[in-house]
Amino acid sequence: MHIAEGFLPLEWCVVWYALAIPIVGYGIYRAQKLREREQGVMPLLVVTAAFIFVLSALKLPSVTGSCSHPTGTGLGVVLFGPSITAFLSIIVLLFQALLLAHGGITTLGANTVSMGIVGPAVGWLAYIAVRKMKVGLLTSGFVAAFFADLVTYVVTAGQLATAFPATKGGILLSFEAFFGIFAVTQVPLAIIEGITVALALKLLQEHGVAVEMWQPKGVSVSEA
Amino acid sequence: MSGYKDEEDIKRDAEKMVEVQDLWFSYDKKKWVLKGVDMELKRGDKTALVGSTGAGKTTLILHLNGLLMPDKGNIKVLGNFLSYTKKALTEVRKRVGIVFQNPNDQIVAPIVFQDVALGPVNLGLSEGEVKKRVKRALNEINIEDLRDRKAHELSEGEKKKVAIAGVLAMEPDILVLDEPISGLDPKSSEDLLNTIDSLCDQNDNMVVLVATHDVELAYEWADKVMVMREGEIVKSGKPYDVFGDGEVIKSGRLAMPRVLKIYKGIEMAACENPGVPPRSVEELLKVMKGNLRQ
Amino acid sequence: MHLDHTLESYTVSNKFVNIRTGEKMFFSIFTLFIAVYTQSPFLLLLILFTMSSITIWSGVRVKHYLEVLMIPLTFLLPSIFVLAFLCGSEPVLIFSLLGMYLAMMREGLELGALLMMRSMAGISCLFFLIMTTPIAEMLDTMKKFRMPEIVGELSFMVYKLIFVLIDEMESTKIAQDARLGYLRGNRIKSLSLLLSSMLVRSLEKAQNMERALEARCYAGKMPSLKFGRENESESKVHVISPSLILMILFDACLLVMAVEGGV
Repeated sequence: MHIAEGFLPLEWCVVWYALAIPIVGYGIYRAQKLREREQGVMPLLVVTAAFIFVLSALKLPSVTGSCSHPTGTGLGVVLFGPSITAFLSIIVLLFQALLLAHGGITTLGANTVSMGIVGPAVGWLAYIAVRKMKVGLLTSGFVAAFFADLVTYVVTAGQLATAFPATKGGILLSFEAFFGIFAVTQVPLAIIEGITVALALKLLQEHGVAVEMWQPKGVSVSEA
Repeated sequence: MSGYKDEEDIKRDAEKMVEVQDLWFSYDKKKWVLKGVDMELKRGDKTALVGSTGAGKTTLILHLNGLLMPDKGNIKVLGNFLSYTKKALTEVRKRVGIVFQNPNDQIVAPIVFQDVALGPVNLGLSEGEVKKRVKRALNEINIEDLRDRKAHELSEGEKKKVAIAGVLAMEPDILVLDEPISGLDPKSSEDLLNTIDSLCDQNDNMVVLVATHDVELAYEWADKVMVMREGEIVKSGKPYDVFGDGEVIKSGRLAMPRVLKIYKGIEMAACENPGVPPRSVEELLKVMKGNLRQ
Repeated sequence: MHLDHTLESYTVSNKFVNIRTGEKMFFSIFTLFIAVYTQSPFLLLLILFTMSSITIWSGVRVKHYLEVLMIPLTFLLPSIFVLAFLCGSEPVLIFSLLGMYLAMMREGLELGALLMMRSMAGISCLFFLIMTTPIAEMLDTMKKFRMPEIVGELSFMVYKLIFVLIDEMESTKIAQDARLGYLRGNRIKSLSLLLSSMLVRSLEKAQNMERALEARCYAGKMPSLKFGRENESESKVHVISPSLILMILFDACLLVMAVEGGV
């Protein structure tokens, strides 16, 4: 779920933008370096971004009437690491705001923080953790995507709660309420997303793509 | 090879526009896609690069303007070795224009004139110059009427033409077309071939290289044919010499061009009127053989 | 998904084609920020009404416009529903659910209504921009703000590839439906398969696209529509156009009203 245009008060829009911009900037820098180093990496960057776009535009109706969707950022994290994923996410979110009225320009900062930065970062940490335990690439990819997806929703609920704390019960109650309406559908969705990302990684590998362009320390490719 | 050199050939020797020497390339560092390709294109040549799917035609073409970097071997364009700095690549891409197989991959702008202007604009030319080039390119392909049309509404044949115009606007000396008529209906292919022909007539100095699996096209259109098989050029020369070689045709997984097949039959049979007209080339040959035995 | 070539058709043949992209972007985003800033329902409705009318007037089909305008409701309605219970202290409606007493608050409902209007007003600003201005031109204009090359190039290719992916998805979905892939237990698996296989095929597409762009020396510049206007001389570009004055006037009025009303 992306926070809709105009939904957050102006001051919160500014705060989230301020948090997002430096990290996206670093991601751009890293992407430039990657492009210089690896000839022909642009198509893979493009496809990953388009994959994030399509996955996070797939809205599935849920019991609570809310709209949930996968995020697709797990793939970016495994392929390129978290900072480049942040860069790809902001492009995707911008296009979703413009082309699908999904999210918005004023809430772009907030949505980037949740879907492009914190979610993927946690997914990335989980990925490294399981990779170090010598778990295979595909299972690790599943874990990365699962956490990236789930944490994104936790962060979004947090963002809404801080902007609109409950009169009685404060931020915490608000958080519970906002998270509650999305949690029902989000867990199964995170599983679907994990499977999708793992499958995508497998197919990319079969296709001859060097899947781990970015490699966590202490993990060799042969373990994949 | 035809074995003789006429005066014109000798004169042209001095004007090698593209030279490829012992080119080796592999995508995955395991399997060679190009295995020591040698090739020459001279000023005014109309050359066809013929081979079945997977022979390495597209891979070879992508080397000509530096889109791929060889693992081994040399490429010379207009007498200079290719270098892979950004500036040098821009220079060679101005000289060597490639029209890709699928126009949908190539046409990126919403409106035809915009797409044709893409190359010139990115070269940093002035507005006046860009407009002039767009006009000239559309005129050369004879599609001025498509100028303001939306690209996604065009037919496949029209898209191919727009893609060619987009490359012509770069004013290349060497024009490379990858499978120009694949996926077109007979009428559109004929139309496109005429367009390419008139383009060659208008620009005597331009080198045109067509990569295709279509022997009929190659036989009919080209002055010079190169047959490619599994990453190697197995034979090159005048079309009737190359396609007349049964061994090359067979090993290259190609078919002999129909007209040539018939002609060879006629030559063999020196036949008279066979009575009931044959409907296929095979029938024709049968009749001719029958005549011969009588 | 409401994405197809209709949008691109609007952007190249609407009544605002001749207005400079920078002006349209500035107008749309400035108005958007006024919408986020203001607390006045009147101003929000004014923005919604004005922006929608000029967008529709420029050549967008009303039915299509309303269809797209409804999309954000899937997010807005549940969120506003939650807010109605959380904010405020004056209950207007109390009911019990599973033994819990839930109370809808007046302040919460008011806040919800305001957010709804603000969201709609904001979206109408975006629609004005996206339905009158080609994406490529916007990226071009953003280049002037010293954005690194990779941002514009990547964005443009992503934009192009999204359309390719959607076409792909349509065709694969039909293929999978035909094989009864969407039945019950297989559902998740077939959805994942659909998405991941699409990814690999589109990688080849993206490679071809990148090569084709590189072959034409693409450096992030998209030819503007002005190359289509042959008879216009190069110098005939006014710094101040009537449209710009109108836009500035409108925004200035909004700003004054927003500041006055906000105090």
